[in-house]
Amino acid sequence: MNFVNPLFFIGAAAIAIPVLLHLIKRERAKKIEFSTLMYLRKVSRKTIRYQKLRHLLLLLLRILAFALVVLAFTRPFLGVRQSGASLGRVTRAHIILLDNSMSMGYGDRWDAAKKSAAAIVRGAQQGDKVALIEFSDRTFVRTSLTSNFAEVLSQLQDGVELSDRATRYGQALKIAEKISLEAGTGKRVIHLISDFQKNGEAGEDQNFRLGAGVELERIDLGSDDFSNLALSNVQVVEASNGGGVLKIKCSLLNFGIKDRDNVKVALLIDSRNAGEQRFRILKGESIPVEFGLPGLTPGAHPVSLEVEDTNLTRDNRLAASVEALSRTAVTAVENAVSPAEGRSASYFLSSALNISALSPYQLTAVTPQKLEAAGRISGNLLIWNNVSGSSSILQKKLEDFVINGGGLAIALGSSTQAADFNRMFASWLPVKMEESGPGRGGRRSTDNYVLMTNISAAHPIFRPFSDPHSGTFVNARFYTYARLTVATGAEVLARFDNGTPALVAAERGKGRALVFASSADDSGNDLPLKAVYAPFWQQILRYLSHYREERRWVEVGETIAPRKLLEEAALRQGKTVTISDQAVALLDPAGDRVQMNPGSDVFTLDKAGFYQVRMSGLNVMIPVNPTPRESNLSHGDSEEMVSGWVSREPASVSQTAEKVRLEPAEQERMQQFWRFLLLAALLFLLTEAFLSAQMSQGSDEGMPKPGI
Amino acid sequence: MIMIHVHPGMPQPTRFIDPVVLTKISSLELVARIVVEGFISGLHRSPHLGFSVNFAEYRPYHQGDDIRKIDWKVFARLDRFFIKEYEGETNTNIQLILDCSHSMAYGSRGISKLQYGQFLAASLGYFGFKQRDGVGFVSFDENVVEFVPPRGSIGHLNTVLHSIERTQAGQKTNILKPLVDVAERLRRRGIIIVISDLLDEPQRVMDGVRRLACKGNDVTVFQVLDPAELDFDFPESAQFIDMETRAEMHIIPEYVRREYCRIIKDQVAYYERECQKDRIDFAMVNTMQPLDHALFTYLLRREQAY
Repeated sequence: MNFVNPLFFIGAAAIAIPVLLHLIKRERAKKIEFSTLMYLRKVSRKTIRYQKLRHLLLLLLRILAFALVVLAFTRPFLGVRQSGASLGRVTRAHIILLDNSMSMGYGDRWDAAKKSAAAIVRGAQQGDKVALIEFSDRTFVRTSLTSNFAEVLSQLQDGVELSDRATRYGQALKIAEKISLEAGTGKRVIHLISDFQKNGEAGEDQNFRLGAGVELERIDLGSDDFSNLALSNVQVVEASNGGGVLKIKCSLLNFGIKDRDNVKVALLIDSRNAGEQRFRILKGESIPVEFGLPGLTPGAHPVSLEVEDTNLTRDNRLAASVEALSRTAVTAVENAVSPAEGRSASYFLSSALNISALSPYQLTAVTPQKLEAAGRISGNLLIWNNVSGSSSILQKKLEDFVINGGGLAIALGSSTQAADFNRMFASWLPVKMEESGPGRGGRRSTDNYVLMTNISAAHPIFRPFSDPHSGTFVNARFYTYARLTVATGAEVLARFDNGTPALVAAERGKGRALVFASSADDSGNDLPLKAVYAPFWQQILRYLSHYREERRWVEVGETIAPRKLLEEAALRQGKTVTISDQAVALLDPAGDRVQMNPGSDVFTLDKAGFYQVRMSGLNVMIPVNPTPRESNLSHGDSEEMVSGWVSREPASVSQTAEKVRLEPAEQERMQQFWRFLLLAALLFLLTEAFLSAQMSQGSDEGMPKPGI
Repeated sequence: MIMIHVHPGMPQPTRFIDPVVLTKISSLELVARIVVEGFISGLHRSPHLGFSVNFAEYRPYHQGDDIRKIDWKVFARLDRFFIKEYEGETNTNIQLILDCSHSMAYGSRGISKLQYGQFLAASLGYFGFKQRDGVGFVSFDENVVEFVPPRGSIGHLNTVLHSIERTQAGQKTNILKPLVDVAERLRRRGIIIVISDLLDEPQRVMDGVRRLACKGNDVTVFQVLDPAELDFDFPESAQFIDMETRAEMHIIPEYVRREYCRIIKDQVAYYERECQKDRIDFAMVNTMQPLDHALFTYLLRREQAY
């Protein structure tokens, strides 16, 4: 309640007038000698008590009348939404913050949390409001502030559910505070029901504090006495003895305060048991776990590592995806080489790309004639390696190849003539080769060379080399190179130190083309002898194939773009599909179809396990694991944590209460309260006058009249 | 100077005198004379046959007169019958009994009940003396303080008035004991007038009065009360002190007024009722009531009674 003229409260001092008169009258009792008290003693005490009561009633009526008059002059009004003020007590807004992070699945914490929340709801009184918010690293408002307690209890019964997400307090507290402001006047209490994990306090939340007037009550369900095993940091690596054998590694962690014996860790591939091991792990220890992966059929395989632990089961399984690669075919087109001429143009390329079982590429060399004779270019990657001559058929084939999503790399060795290049490519690529230049036709000498110095380090091809000690191109000498003229639509990714383009990229249709101004072997440069040669060409092929590193798993809470994942999978598998036209289904780890938000291309992964993105002919599996830090149940000092969040400024509820601005008409209507107060004061005064008159009249009655 | 009040409810042109004014007059005899002068001669008749000694006048003999009353010496000189008449005198004794207990000293309007009682006793004594009655006087508190037996001689009036005048408020009230004492001392029937505030146990008061009446006395009781005792019109709360016992009591008058007045009214009604049963005259007088008016009304009632 607010007052238009609060200064009139000074007039409340007038209430003291009847009280003072009453008291003064008592204090100044003088002594009177009277003939006898005999009859006065006969006046019944009951009568005196009754008279006293009536006088007190009169006094009360006078005080009330004064008080009401004063109150009427202050012109009280309800400036904020009326809640329970009329009930004569301070109302409360209870905001229940229910932690549903994965750690709350430990033991019976989740049930205890729900019971505590229900107890708060049942303890709310008439006029109070309750909001229910569940939080982890995502905050979800189950019910906004409401007086419908049954709805909140229903949500507690059937709505809220445990998640696999990590804990984060700051964000949840901010939202709870925001909701509490909707309560207007009254007391605002945030009830934080959580296990108070140490890890829940994110760095960016350290400086967060609730506003003044918002109370924070904690219900701590955590404990220092816990034992939890978890797996983390899964990796698929090639066995050290090579031979293309893969193995899967992870770490087994004991976060608890007890040593654990005979802990079983099992490997499941395609949901079938593929081996198990037993470990003894001390408290706080982390030990490596390693399983060999037997020969897998080409394609992606769901692989799970499971540890046996009954305390918190949600972090027992670690999911990963292992893809047994069917190696990508790369066609190198080169002139036929006679045995007398020695090595072919693709000698170094072949060595670089067919390097091990883990290499994703398989290079095959063909002659231009053979390619021309073939009906369709197989595979998605083609290297035009120092080819002489030209052919309109091949030109058309290459152009179609690129337009349809193929990747074409052109290496310009000494055999490639400018006229042939321009006839073959200049018509559909924004690159032109000049007839002569300083690098063409020159003799190879130790003094006449250029260096490839100006490199676009941000480009995907050169990004792996941008870090220190990650490979350098400046020690490679280019003795012969082609002079290229780049038109609009092409991008120069690298230049020689004399400014001429060394590597030019262009896109055509769905495909990409790269022109390397020197040879792919050591005939025009000594790059093949440098360490960066093999990764350089692998990077070129990755770029041309739209390659994107596929992660073996993601964490709960990360987002994915299902259609994009399908596109990349289609490209890797060499399939030509139009994703945007087709229906895409997303299945959660339980196999239930998940509805994606209309108009949104991304989806947030909430559950641990294997999600699947499906489309006609395509299936992408997404392994999702809980955040490793959530498995660490170390209990924080809840009192300290809470004291760090509550405001240091003591403020009354009314100081922070959010006022609702009202229209003038409504404000006027609310201020009309004073009329009733004045009327009530008048009624009190009339009653007082009536009672007083009655008492006076009563005193005069019964007086004996003298008579003889 | 004597102020004369004319009460609107009283028949004109009767004069009434403010009792407070009488307090300004030092001579009680003068007070009595002033009060009584306004009356006609005695309204009561002697209940006994007696002899008169003081010659009043002669009147012609009428048929039916007692021939013994004819003055033969006058007949001898004038040869006409004249009856020798004497001033009418009874041999009735009037015993005035005045309460002088401490409660009688109370007065809220400039005159105490004792003063009023003194005036009343003096007036009645003077009046009785004028009618040749023997007048006596008794004052009492818890005992008999002074006892003057009734006499009919002229000099006795001064004795009585002097005794009345020197009466002062004494001790506590114990009305039964002195009245019994007085009843035993009186040997001859007569008129007994008790002037008191009767602030004692009503039963004891009536026992005492009945003891006086039972010997064939004509008893009249004047209850003298102060207006404050009747109205209890004290404006504000006070510590009230009992004048006789010195006991104290904090009273808020407006709380008790109504109940107190009812009790007083019942008390007066009780005395009236009980006195009527025993053929005792009872009159409650307010000290603010003019004395002559009180006497007038009283004597008028007695005349009607006889």
